[in-house]
Amino acid sequence: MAGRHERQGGRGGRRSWPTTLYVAAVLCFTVYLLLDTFVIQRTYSAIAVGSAAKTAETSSSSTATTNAEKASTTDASDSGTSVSLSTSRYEDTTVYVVDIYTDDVTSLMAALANDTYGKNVTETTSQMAEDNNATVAINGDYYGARNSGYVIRDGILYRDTAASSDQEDLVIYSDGTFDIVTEGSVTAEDLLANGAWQVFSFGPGLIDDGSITVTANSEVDQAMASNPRTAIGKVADGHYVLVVSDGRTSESAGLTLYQLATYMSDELGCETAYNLDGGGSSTLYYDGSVVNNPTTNGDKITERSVSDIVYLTA
Amino acid sequence: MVCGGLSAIYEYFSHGVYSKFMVFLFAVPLVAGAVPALVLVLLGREPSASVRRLWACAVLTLSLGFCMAGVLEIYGTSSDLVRVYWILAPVLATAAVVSEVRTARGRRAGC
Repeated sequence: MAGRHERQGGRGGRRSWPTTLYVAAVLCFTVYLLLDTFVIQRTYSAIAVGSAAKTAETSSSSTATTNAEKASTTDASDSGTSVSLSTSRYEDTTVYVVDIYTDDVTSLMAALANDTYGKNVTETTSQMAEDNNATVAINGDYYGARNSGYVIRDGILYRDTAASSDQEDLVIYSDGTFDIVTEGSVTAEDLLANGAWQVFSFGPGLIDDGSITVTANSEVDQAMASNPRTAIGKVADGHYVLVVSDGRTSESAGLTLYQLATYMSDELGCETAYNLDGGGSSTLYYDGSVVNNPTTNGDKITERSVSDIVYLTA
Repeated sequence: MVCGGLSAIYEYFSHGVYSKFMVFLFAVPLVAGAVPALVLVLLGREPSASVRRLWACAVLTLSLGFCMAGVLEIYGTSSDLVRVYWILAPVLATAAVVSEVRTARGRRAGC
C-alpha cells in the first residue's frame, strides 16, 4: 500500500488544479485569438479625405445631371467610358480580361462590404457590385484580413499603418497615373496629398515601367504556386484592364504570379500591373453576373465573402 | 506526433503557401519536451512534479504559439495577441528551471 502511494506521489498522481486551470485558460485564450482574427467584427472611421475625393464628388454630381438629360438617347460609350469582356486560355487556365477605356480614372471606384470600413466585415463581390450598380467588378485587396497596409479608397484614407518597409502598393492617382511604391518610401498621408485615388496593399507588383518585376525563381511562396488570380493593370493612358483567372479545378490549373505577369505583359501589353487578392477571393462580376468560377478548394464553385471590390459603372 | 500531423494536414490544404512556424511545429514538443526528458533520464535525475508541470505548460504554450502563428501566416494575416505565447512560454520555462535548481540545492544542503 505504501509503495503504491509512493508510486502515485512520484508520478504526481494528485490532480494539480493550477495546471488544469492554466491549460484551460491558455486554450480559452487561443479560441479568443481565433475569434478575434476571423470572426469578431470591428468598424473604424476614415482618417482623412483627400482632394481627389472632393474633386470626384463635384464632377460626379455634374456628370449625373448631364447623364440624366442624355439617358433616353445615348448609350454608355458616349459618356467617355466603355468596357468589354474577353476570355482566353493560357497555361491550362481560363483567363478573363475586362478592357476599360475611360477618360476619367475616378470612374474606377472601390466599394466596401456593407459600406463599412472595418475588420471581419465582408460581403460577396457580386452583392457589393449589385449594391453599387456596377457594370463590372472584381475583388480588391481584402484589406480586412490584415491589421496593416495602406488603405485609400475613392480618395479617402482609412489606414495609414505600413505593413512593412518593402510592402509594395499600387497607387492609382486621379490623373490616371499608375505607380507601384513601397510603404517604406512614402507615407499614406503623402500619397493622399499627392492625389491618390486608390491605394491597394496586397501585391506584389507584377509589371512596372513595362518590365516584369516578379521572378519565376522567387522564394516567396505565393509566386511558386498556381492559383486563381486577380490583377489590375494599365495598358496606356485611358486604357486599363482587370484580369481574373480561374484555378484549383480540373479545367483550370491556375497561374503562378510570374505566369500572370507574363500574360499581362505579352498578351495585354501592360506597362504597369499589380496583383490583388487571389485564391478563393478571385471573382469577376460583369453585366449582372459572376462570370468566372470562384472556388477555395476546387470542389465547390462559390464566391468567398471579401472586404472590398473595385468596380466601374458604364 | 500530434503537432507533426496537424502541421502536415494544414500545409496539404494551404495551396502552396507555407509558414516556417507550421513547418517546425513538430519540433517544439520534440526539442523542448522529449530531448530534455531523455537527458534527465540519462543523468539519472527526476524533477519534481511541480517542475514537470511548469515545463509541460511552457511546451504547450510554445506549441500553441507556433500553431497560431502558422495558421495566421498561411492565411496572410497577423495578430498582436500571438505575443502572449512568446512571453508566457519562456516565463514558465524559466520558472521550471529556477524551481528545479532550488530543489537540487535544497537536496544537496539536506545531504
